[in-house]
Amino acid sequence: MTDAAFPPVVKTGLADWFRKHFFATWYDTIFSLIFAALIFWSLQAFIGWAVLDAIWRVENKDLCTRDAGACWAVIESRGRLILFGLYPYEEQWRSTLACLAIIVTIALSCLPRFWSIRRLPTLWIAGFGTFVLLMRGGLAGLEVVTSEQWGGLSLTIFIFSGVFVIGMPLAVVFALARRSSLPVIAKSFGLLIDIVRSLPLLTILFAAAVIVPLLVPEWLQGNKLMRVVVAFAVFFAAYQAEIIRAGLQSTSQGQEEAAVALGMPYWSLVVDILLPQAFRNTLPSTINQAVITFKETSIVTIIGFFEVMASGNAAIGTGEWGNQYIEVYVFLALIYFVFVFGLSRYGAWLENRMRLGHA
Amino acid sequence: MRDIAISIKNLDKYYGSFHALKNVNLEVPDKQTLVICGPSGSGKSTLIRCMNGLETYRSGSLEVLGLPVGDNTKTLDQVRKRVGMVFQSFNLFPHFTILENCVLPQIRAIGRDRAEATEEARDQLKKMQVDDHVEKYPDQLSGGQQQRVALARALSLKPEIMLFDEPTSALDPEMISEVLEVMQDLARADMTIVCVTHEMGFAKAVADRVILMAQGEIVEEGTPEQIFNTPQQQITKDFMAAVNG
Amino acid sequence: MSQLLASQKFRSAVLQGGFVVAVIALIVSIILVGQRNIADQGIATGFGFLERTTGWPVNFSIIEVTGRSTYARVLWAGLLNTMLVGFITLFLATLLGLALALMRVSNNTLMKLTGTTYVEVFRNVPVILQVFFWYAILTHLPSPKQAYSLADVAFLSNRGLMLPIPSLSGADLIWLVGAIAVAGVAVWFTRGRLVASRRWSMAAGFIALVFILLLVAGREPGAGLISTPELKGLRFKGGLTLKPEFTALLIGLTLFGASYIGEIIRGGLLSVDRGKLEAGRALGFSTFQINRLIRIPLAFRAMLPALTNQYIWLMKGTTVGIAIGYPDYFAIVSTSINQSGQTLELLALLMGGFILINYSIGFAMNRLNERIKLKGRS
Repeated sequence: MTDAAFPPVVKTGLADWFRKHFFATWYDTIFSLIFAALIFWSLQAFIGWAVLDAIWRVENKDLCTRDAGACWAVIESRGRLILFGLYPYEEQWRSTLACLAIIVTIALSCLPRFWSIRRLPTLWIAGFGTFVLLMRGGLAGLEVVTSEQWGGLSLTIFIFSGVFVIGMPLAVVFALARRSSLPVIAKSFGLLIDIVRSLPLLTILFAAAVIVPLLVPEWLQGNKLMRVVVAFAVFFAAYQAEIIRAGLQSTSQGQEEAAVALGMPYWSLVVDILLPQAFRNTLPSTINQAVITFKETSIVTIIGFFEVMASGNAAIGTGEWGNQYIEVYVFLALIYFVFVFGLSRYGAWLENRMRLGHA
Repeated sequence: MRDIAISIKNLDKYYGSFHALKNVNLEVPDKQTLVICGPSGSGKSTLIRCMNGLETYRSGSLEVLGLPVGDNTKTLDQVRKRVGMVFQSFNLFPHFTILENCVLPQIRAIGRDRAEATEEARDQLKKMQVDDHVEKYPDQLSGGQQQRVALARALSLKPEIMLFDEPTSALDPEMISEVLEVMQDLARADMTIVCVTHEMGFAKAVADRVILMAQGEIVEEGTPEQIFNTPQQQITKDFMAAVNG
Repeated sequence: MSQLLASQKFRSAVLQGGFVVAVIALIVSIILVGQRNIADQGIATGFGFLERTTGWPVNFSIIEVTGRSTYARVLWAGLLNTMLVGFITLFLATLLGLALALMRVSNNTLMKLTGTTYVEVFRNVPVILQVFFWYAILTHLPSPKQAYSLADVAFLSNRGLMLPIPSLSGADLIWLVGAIAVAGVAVWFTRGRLVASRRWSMAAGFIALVFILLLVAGREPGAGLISTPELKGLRFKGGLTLKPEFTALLIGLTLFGASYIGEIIRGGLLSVDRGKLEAGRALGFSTFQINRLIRIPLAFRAMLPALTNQYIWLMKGTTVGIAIGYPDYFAIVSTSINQSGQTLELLALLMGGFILINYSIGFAMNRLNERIKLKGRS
């Protein structure tokens, strides 16, 4: 007969929490110490450079030497260039309003209220339309500012929303075509989607900018910006189509049969039954795709568009602010970070909520 | 007034090289309740799904309510509006409420306006005794309740024939009877019914005719008493033994 | 007639036929318009230009390329450049990603925090911005005269990173590669259990040794073993130069790619069913054994498809190199289009090149997938 042992003691309490998370084993302890030192040192260096020793106003520009802190004065001096490009100074309030319109549209799209087949497209067309009208002008006494003069962050936002507005409906068409029961159409679109997805974005945009004028009659060419936005939209549509197709497949086939047995027409099956569910099921992937697209707009700088990367590089230039490249790049990174991190956090939150219950 | 609701002659169906239905001949008169039973893989579901065009066939002829069911999309459309179907897995639309599940098909399929459709839907849901759940979503209901909603949805279109493809096979035992009850009411109200099921009690209670299928063929047919009590074919005897024993 | 129109077979035939006709019409019209435009602008067609010399230099290449190389050779150099930076990036990013993943699944909160911060920072900033950043830093380093030096054999300046490298001629290289290959065969044979395999292994090892001896004997007497960079005037001579264009692209892509690969590896590790890990614990395995025998093999199988996609995507990402002047395949094609005007042919070559690289990666990964796949009823 053996002695009964005491049951294992579950330790709680602050000291034990510390031990479990930081000092569980001997090598854990070493790691904790190393990382703690690392984190402390880098935080201290960064805050020192970015905040404490930083120079904020342009008047103090002469203090901006190599040893001083961050020279944020460059932002004050070149901020407008980065945000609006070469848009005329007096009209920049229009750029600001236009960007706000898109931001509001994005924010509203996150509310379940707007998640219907009718409301969401209307919202986006309204938002995008407002943007273009404000930027371009020509109505209500607003002076015309052509797209060649659009630049900086506002051009980035234009490209992003243009791609989204054109690309989404295109993605639905692609997805439905690929699922078609007519083998010729299904295979052709499948081939198209696969080819587009295997090419680098830059290649496609480059082709749109340079090749399409060769292959297409004059009247159909449009300007470079339009061609590139359309090509980008096709690229986006190819990826989004696969996401939608996965969503369509996850709605059970039984529902399609039920709708057919009830005598509901094909368009109703698609619009009322399949698409709403497909979109809801794939919302996290869709938001992820949107986030990636926003980051990818930076690629167009290579083709010669003056979006926010190019305007950032122009702000540094080789002139008086030539050494402030870190500050400008950090500023650009911050702009992207806010959009991208914000949207992807929202996507993660949505995914969590949908996993638990009903959206 | 037609006499024959469904007329099937020399029907052959293949899945690739697999001969799923072999030279099937069947006539279902108006107002008859027909039960199809048999071992799995016998082609019962395939046969019933041919009746509203969910499955196609290679040769033979199939007429429902006097309309040929085949390649012609127009007649197929008309047939589907007059024939209702209830599935094994209910197939309700999960993103709509119970009420909307019954209202939307009426609007889209036969063009009723929303007010009329809503009234009809509420009526049918009441008959199925699920009317206090109208604002709920399908996954908030039990299996038995969902199947009754599915039945209400199909009946809202006022079909002349109802097809049931193993309506209780996916239900927990305690919910089977509530669905069978409403099906029995339907049968007694002189609806033409074709039902694929394993529920022999239901067949005995309301079927006018029972056919047994095996390996794509109709092996035996007759009244419930004939099939259950005095089966003629060996296959039928074996099947009855397996089901009852 | 209306019967015919309503027939499903008829409709499907007409729709598909009409679609094919429309596509053909589109292609034909594009060809016609294209031909007219090209003729109008006086551009030649055909791939004959590949044999012309380019007349312009390429600033980085692993094969010999001058202003007198043909277009074909220059394009091949570009393709090699893409593969060079691409494959090294994939390798380094996978290592770093693995470290990140392990950090993020560990119990140590600080490690987790560091890992998460890294991933969030590097994933949410566009890759081209990151590459620009590193390029700016590397080109703002001091000039060669004031270069940072590491033990006087390695130097870091705004001209790049100079490293010592074994000085080998082409023939030497062949012997060396041969020796390594044969040694590899020798090692492989040691896995066999037959006595015969031992003998094969020793024979192969002997051959490898012979190769090395030939290598040493064939070198010129007096040639140093290692070539070190030395400052001559304004620049460095000798050694291996890693230009800032290459280095910046490599660093930028690696750090960016590691954050994505880290997430995929982490996903793979987390996807291993807890029940299996618990079974391992119940059987008495140590944590290390559980990781090595259960968790990592299963995680590897789970993450392979996602990893394949990520590799292909990273490979395509090398195209941002053009922004900082790295002559990758895309950059070379772009310059060639500018210089020779053979837009369509070059674009076809561009797309062909990338499709080739992508399919190769996909093919290799699929083979791997097939070999290690869990066999089940399918």
